[in-house]
This record gives sequence, structure tokens and C-alpha cells, in this order.
Amino acid sequence: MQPMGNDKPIPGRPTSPFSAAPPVSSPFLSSGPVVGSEKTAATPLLTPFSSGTQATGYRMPAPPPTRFNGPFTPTQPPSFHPTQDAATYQQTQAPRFPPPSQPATPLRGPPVANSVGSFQPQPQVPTFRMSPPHPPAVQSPPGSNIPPPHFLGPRPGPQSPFQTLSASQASPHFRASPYIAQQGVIPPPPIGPPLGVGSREQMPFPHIGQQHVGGGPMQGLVEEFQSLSVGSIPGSLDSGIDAKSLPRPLDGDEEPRILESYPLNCHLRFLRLTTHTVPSSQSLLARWHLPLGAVVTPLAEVPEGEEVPIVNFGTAGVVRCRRCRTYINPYVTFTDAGRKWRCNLCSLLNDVPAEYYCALDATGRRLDIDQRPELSKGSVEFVAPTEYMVRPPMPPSYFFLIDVSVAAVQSGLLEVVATTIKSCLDGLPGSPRTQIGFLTFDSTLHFHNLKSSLSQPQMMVVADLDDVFLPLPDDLLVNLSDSRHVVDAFLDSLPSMFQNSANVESASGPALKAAFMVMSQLGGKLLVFQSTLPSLGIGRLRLRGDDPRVYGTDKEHTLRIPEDPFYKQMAAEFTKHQIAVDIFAFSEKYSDIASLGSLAKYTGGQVYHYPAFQAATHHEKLRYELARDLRRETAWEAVMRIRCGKGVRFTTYHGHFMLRSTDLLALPAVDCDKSFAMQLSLEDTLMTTQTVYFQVALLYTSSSGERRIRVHTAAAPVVTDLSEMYRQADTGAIVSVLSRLAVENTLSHKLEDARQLMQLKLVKSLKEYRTLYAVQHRLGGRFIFPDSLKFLPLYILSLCKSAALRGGYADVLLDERCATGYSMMILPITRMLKLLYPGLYRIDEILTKGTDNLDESLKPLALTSQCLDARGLYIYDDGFSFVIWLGRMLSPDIVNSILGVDLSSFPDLSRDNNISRRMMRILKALREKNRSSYQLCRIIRQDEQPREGFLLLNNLIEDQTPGSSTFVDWILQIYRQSQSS
Amino acid sequence: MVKLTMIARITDGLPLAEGLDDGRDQKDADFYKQQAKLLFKNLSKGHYEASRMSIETGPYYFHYIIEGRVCYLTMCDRSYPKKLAFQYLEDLKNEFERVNGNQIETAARPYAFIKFDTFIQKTKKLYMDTRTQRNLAKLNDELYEVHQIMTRNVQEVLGVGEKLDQVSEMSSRLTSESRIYADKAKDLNRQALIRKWAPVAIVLGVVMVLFWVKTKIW
Repeated sequence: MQPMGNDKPIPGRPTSPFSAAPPVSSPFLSSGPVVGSEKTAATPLLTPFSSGTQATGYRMPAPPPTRFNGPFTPTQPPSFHPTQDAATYQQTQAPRFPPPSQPATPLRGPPVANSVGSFQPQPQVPTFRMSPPHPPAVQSPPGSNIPPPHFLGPRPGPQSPFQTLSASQASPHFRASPYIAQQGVIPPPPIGPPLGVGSREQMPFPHIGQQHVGGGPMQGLVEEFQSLSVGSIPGSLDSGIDAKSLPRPLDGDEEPRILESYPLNCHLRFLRLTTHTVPSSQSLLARWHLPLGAVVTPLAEVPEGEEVPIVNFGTAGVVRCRRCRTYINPYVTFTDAGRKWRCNLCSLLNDVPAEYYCALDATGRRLDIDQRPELSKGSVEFVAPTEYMVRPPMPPSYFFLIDVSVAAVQSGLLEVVATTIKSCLDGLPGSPRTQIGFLTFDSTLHFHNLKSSLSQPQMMVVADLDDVFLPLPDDLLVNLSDSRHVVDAFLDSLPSMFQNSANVESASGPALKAAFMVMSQLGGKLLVFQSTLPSLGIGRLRLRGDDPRVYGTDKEHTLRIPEDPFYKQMAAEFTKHQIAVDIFAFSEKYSDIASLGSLAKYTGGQVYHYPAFQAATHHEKLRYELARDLRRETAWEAVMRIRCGKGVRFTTYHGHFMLRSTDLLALPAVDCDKSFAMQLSLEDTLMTTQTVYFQVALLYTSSSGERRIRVHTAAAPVVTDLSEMYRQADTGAIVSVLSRLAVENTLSHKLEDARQLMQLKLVKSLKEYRTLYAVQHRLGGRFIFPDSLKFLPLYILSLCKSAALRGGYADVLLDERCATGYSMMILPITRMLKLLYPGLYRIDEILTKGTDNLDESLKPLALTSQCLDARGLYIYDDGFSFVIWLGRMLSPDIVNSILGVDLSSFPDLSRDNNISRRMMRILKALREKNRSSYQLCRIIRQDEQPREGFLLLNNLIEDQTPGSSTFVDWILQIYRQSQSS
Repeated sequence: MVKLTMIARITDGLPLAEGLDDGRDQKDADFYKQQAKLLFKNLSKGHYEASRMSIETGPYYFHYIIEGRVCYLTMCDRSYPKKLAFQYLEDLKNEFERVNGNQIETAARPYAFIKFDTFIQKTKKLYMDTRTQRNLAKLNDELYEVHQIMTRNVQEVLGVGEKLDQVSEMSSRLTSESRIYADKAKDLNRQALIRKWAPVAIVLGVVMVLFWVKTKIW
């Protein structure tokens, strides 16, 4: 395993402890923040340093005196351990010390300290965030008791891998090394060959090898990646994986700490890159098998106090680059005494408009930078002047298209919809300009005249479905504040209006056409409440998907795409006239969400699916979600474009929108619950710049009738090194892009193919990663993966087991599959991860004993049935619904207090006793965390088949389900595939 | 019938409000909107005389009134009574001044008073039908005099600025061309001089050389 090169560094190693001191120091320094020797200078610091120098350029806005002296001091730790948290870092210290023989440790302390002092001023040491654990580790009595302190971290689950690492792998390895005996003091490099290997095989990535030379072998190793012992006992059948030690994202989404090194970037809630770097060449990109791109949530909800500042340039007009039309942002540089500015994307020198001129200070900063948010914040909103309007800002308008066929009446849907809309009327944004209108339909279309001078709405029935016309030119879409009383009267009478209807037909297509005619002048939001399969007129759909034989054939994917081109054409028309369509589907039976959903897909809308809707059980969910849809801040008639610096280009976009030109996303309506993913490609073979900038610009009309441009700017360094790309990888963004890719793949391929594609991507990337390190580190029997991607295998597994991709015909209903697919296309990262790896909490103890700190007591568990205890009460939360699981041996007290004698599956849990109150508190706390949808509680009891399997057991991702493997098997499978060449 | 309603600030041509679904079922609405915007631009340059004016354009009339630095403009059919159109604008003006009067100068963004469109919409409906009792009464009311309001053609109005531009452009072209002419004349003069005296100079030169050669050799 060890190549010849191994010998080279070793002889160079000092044999006496004294001469050893200086070289030993370099390991410390290398991980320390400041360059000590030139060797380390060239190495790990390479990347941070280069970003540091750029940083001085654009970090101008910050107070310069402090910045200039030590810009890297604060920024480096994060750039070294971008995704490592406190616990990980402690771990990195651990393996360094235990291995040396006992007496060496005390000896070693002083020289280290000295050398650190001699090479670098002391203050550097404290810049370690984790320095407190560090000295104890050095001074603590030798050997055995060192590891324990390192397991104090907050997350017991993910930590265990380190344990196996240091105990089972690292130390035996060290002991075995022949060098240990003589060297004693020096941690023998298990990566002996790095120099040799590094220089031969990894010419373009010089710093990998060097880093280990400089950076203390084990530290470098752990810093770079994590590994899992796989098949530790050769020949044994046991997998050798400790299932408990596998990394699990129990804390949900972890945002990478980019903002510390790029403080001027927009917040990560708006824009996240799949890896916060840009590869410098095509060949490097080819080795990065994961998607390279970004996930954008332009209108993400911001906590109070962090609102995006609004800037009005007045007569100066919006300051933009002449050539690439980039908006002015914090990364532009001013030259020529403030008369010119250089665009950071295309580096064109632009004139500063006279009205915008401001003198520069000695460091080249504008004097007025503190008053100008566009020069100091990554996210700003510009007030758009007239040139950005093709028409006056439209008023928010809502048009409701309600299916009133017998299914809707029977399920009580009409009543819920009517009361919800009525209760939302006051909260609709944009008052007093808000427009509203209704159209109901079954086998005929019913128009409702809501003219303000009427006291009661008038209904007009149009039965001609082939040639739809509007019975009235006006007053079908009316101003809400003027016609409020008529709208109220209409909503009051709506539930009873169709009470005796026995009409089973649904003329959705003609109704859509009519709605289009009403709305086409203004645009707005069209909410379609569909209770049955569209059965009449144009756009009628037929029952399909009930044939299990289609599955597994090449025709399988056709079930998941719209059958009738009518819907896509209609969607194109809607987008052109700034109409967004939200689909609410309620049918118990097949209603072809695939076709209906394409309306939402191309108009920036959303699909809500309530299978087998019954007012009694689902009303809360529908009420909440409809109210949120109506009330949330919405951006109207929007277009979005993302620009990026030279050499890179956004090529594909994923989400709900219509692509107007090659890179302009048309979004009739967009809100905080929508996110968009896009993928990058490199244009040139080699990138010449050191930093690439991205700018998302969303031009929209706010509900208050203002035209605005929301601009988010971010910078990412160009790297020449694959390991740096892995280090800066962002699992959340990667999973988000991958799942969209997978869903899109299911629209043109078999489910099986989509799953395999995901697996292939994962395997390829891990294999690539393995070739980076495994050879040097002699990790033959170990599964290695970057620390930043430690959850990726699990997320990919859960993606393959998600409702959109899982199994085949029988596993998930076609409609549900399509609805999940449509939601996955728009989910923001955090909710996506929550959906993929839902939370499972045991709450019986909290219920009986109560708790002071609910957040702490709710400990997420691994998603496996082994975690389910028959004596416990569990709650499963995937962001869309709750499942409450009652163990067989759960104490009857609890059951009685929360359920009473209610045997329904959606019981009312609020009762007048302590346990029930606590239960409600827990539910409330969980719902607070995810306010985009309402989680309805379902109760299931252990062994209650088949519901238990259907609702919970199939969703326990780590368990074996038909046709899929357990988490441990999956890891083994991935490991084997990534190992084979 | 009122087709279009726009309210703009006269000092810089900033649009303040506009009727909501103006231009419905009208294919050339965009063209006339563009024309109206040009008109505002011209007005903001100061090319205007009267505070009330009618301008004919195609099958329509623009009517506008300017009051308190705000221009209220509407576009009607030719057949629509002028009197009613101005009454309509007058109504808009009164309400607009009442509601937004003190903020007009400070408005910084386009369509700052877009909320006014609901009122425009309502008022427009009142004036829609010329035969209602209310409108007939207004028509017969002699108090409001519209006869002296000038009527001009849109090309004329929009042309004023253009013509001025043309004249200045022509004059500037004239100066530059005359300069070129002067330069060329000088050049020609010099060439003529050379052409006249060059042969003589050459002959003289040859003679001189011969002389010089002669003195050297002999």
C-alpha cells in the first residue's frame, strides 16, 4: 500500500526530540491561523490567503484599520473547518496525542509552546475557537483518558465515528508503525507518502500533500474527511458497521459558515451554492460529480430586524453596469477619485452618475458607504423607475375557480373554502386595490356578478363549453373594498348554493379558459379547487395509471407528465398574462395531478394535495394553508435573472417558472415558499479570475403597488483543487438540486433509472474523493467521505425512498407521487431536508413529567423502527404532517388523557388535562418551526395494519422496505461501489 | 367614452397614477400610451402654452389640464363631448388634490399614487354613458366653458420639440461643414501654389547642380 515515496519524508524527520521541535511546530502552525514557515505558507493557507487578499479588496466597507492588519485571523478558522462544529474540532485534536508513547506527551508540551511562540506571536493561539480544549489535551495525563473529554459534544450520534477512528484505526496503526519507536515524539505520519504521491499524482493540487507534512498527519486527515470503519474484521460476514455511529442529520439543516469569510454576501437563506467555490477548469469540474449550482429563495422570510433595505436612486436611475447590466453591489470598486466604478462581474469601467458621485477616502472607500446599503449589504431592494414597467403596477388580484360538483359538496369542501376566504378578506394584501372574483363550475360554468351596486351577487350560467364567452364585460373581477358586501354575501351563500346538486361532471378546461378571459387584462393569482377528474369539454382527462403493467416499462414516465397538451398551452398563456395558478386537489380518486400540476409548474404556482378530503378532518389544514397562500407577502408580475462573472454560466433551471429567454425566469407570482435551483457550467477551460460573483435580481411588483428590484449578491472563490471544493460543499444545496434533478428525471425515465442516477452520482463523487485521499492514508478498509458531505449518503437514500421516487406501482399512489414531486420542485432547502429526513421524537416522558425547555427535551431520533419502544409515544414530523405513534404498552393514562375514547384517526387532541395541554404545546412548538404548511395529526397504534406500515414504517428511512435497503446496507453498497474501480 | 387616463407630474414627467384596466379590448392602446408619455416628456421640457388643451390623434382626442404642476390626461373618442371629458378631468383633479395634494412634490417613485386608480375607475364609469341624466345636465350646463380650449394635432405638438432639435442640429452641422470648407480651401490654395512654381524650381535646381558639377570638375 505504501508507495516508495514513503521513505522520503521519513529520513528527513529528525530523530532527536530537540531537533524535532521546530518541524513539529509547523503542524501546529499550519492549522494555526498565520503562516509560520514558507512550507505552510504555500499550503493550507493557500486558499484562505488568496481569498483573504481578495477580501481586502471588497471588505472595504468594514473598518479598515483592523482589517488590514489581520484580515485572516478571524476568517481563517472557518475557512479551514468550514463545516466542522465545535465537536469535530475537538476531535481533530484527539488523535494527535494519544498515539505517541506515554512519556512523550509531557515532553512534548513545552517545545510546542516554545515553537509556537518563537514562530508566531502568542495571540494567534487564542484565535482557535476551540483553544480551550486544546491545552487540556496537551497537559492531561497520557494516553487513556484523553479521548473522553472529546465526547462531550452535543451530538452523541455523529460523534461515534471519531471514536472508531481514533480507537480502532488510528492507534493500532500508529503502534504498528516501525517509526514510532525511535521517533517517539513525533506522531508518525500514516500518510507517509503524501509528498511523493502528492507530487506525482496530484500535481495540480500541491497543497494536499504539503498540508499533511505541515499539518500533523492525523489532524490533517481528520480535518479533511471522515471515515467509517467498514468490514473491520476481514472475512467476517458481519458488516462491521456500527449502525449507531453513522452520521445522521438530526439537527436538520446546517448552513455552512460562508458569511464569516464573505461578510458582504447575501444571507444564505437567499442564495446557497452547492459548493461555495468555483472550479477553475473544465477538467476539475468533470471530477466534481455532484451538481454545481445554486439554490435561490429570492423572497425568503427574514426574521424581524433583518429586513432587506430599500434604496431609491431617484433621478440618478438604478446604477448598473453598461455592458452586463449588473446592479451596483458591495463588491464593485471605485476608482478615479470616485468618478468611475469597476463592475465586479465583467470588470468594465463605468462612469458614476453625477447624482451618485461621492469622493473616496485614502483607502479607496467611498465616504458615504455607511449611508448606502447597496454598497454594504449583500441584499437590497431598489425602487424601480418607469423604465422597468411596461404598465402601471398591477393590483393584487385573486380569482377563485371552484369545482362545485357533488364530490366537493359532500366532502364539505365548499363550506371550508368559503369560510376561509371570507376570514381572509381583511388580510388580503394590497388593500384598497385588491381585486377578487369567483367562478364556479360543474358541467356548466357559473359566473358571478359582484358589481358593487348590487346587494346580492348575480349568478350567470354558461352551458356552452365548446365556445366559452363572458356573459358580462365587467364586474366578474371586482375591487374588493368596493364590492365587499357583495363578496361577503356570495361567500355566505356559496355552501348552500349547490347543496342539492347531483352533478358529477367537472368542466375544468372550459372553466380555465373562462378564468383566463376574465383575468387576462390584469393578471394575478388563480386558485383552482379541483375535487374530481376534469371530465368535460376541452382538457378532459381520462383515468390512467391504474395499470400496474406499465410500471417498469419505457412508457412508465408518461403517467407522470401531462397527457393533454392543453394544460401546457394554457400555462404558457397564463404566464404571458401574468397569471399564477395554484392547484388545490381534493379527490379521493385519481384526478391526474400530473396534468393539473403542470399549470402550476409553468406559472410559478404551487400544488396542494389533500387526498380524500373530508371537512371534518382536513379543515384545519386547508384553512391554514389557504390562508397562508392568500395572506403571505407575494411578489407579482416578476421576472428573475441570475448573473454571474466571466467564465461561468447558468445553464439549467429547476423549479416552477417559465423560461422567457435563455436565462430570464418569468414568475407571475412568487413568494417566500418558493425556491429555484440552477446549475452552472464553465465556459472557458481556465478561469482567470480569483473570485466569481453571482447576482440574483428579481424585478417585481409588491402588493402595495410598488415596482421593486430585489438584488442578492454573493462571491465565491475560484479554486484549483478538488479537495477544497469538497470542503466547501453544502449538503443542503446539493440535496436540493439533486432531488429536483431526480424528480425531473422521473418525468422522462423510469423511477428505477432516477434512483440509480442519484446513486451513481453519489458513488462517483465518493469514488473521486477516495482517490484523493485513500491511497495516501492507507484507508483501504474504510469508507471515507468529506466532513461537509457526511449526511449526503443518507439524504440520497431518503431521496430514493421519498414518495416521489419510492418503489413502483403499489407503493405510492400516482397522484400522491406527482404531488410530492411538484412540491419538491419548489421547496426551500430547510423544508426539503425536513421532508427527506423527518424528525422523530419520543414524547411520553415529556407528557408525563413536563419540561421547562421544550426545544431541548425534543430530541430527534434516528429513523428506524429500532428506536420505537412499545412503551413510548412518538411523534413523526415531516414538515407536512404529523404521525403520532402509540406503543402497544404505552401507559393507558397517557392514552386516556390525550385521546379519551376517540378512535378516529384524526382525533381532537385538546382536552382539559395537563398531559393533553403539554401535548398541544409540543405540537405547537413543532408547527412553529415550519409555518409554511399545517401539520395535521394522525394517530396510529402499534401493529395497526396496514396503516402503520403505510404512514410510518415505510417512512422510516433507515429500515428495510420492499425493494430498498437499510441504511447500513446502503452505506456498504455505496462503499463497495466507490471502492471498485 | 374614456379610453385612457393618466396623471403625471409636469416638472419631470413622472407618472403618478393611471387608470386600471385602461386599454382593454384595444389593440393600439400601447401606441397611444407611448404617445401620451411623449407628450408628458414634452410638457416637462416646457413646450407648453395652455393649461387646457385638446390634441387630436388618430380616431381619438387627448384632453389634458395642467394644474398645480400635475397634468391630468385622458383619451376619448372623437365623438365624446369635450365638455364631459374636461368635467371628468376636473373631477379627477379635485379628488387627487384633496387626497394627495401635499405629497405630489415629494413623490420619488413612479406611480406613487397608484391607489388613486380605484377612484379613476369609479369616476370613469360615471362618465361612460353620455346619455345619463347626470351627464346630459352637465352638457347643458353653460357655466363651464370649453370653447376657447385650443385644439391642435398631435404631430404638431410632439413636433415642436423635434423641429427645434432639427434646427439646432442643422446649424451645428453647418458650422462644422464650413470649418471643413475653410480647411479644404487652404489646402487647395497651397496645392495650386506648388503646381505653379514646382517646374521653375526644378529647372533652377538642375541648372544649379550643373553649375556646381561644372565648378567641381573643372
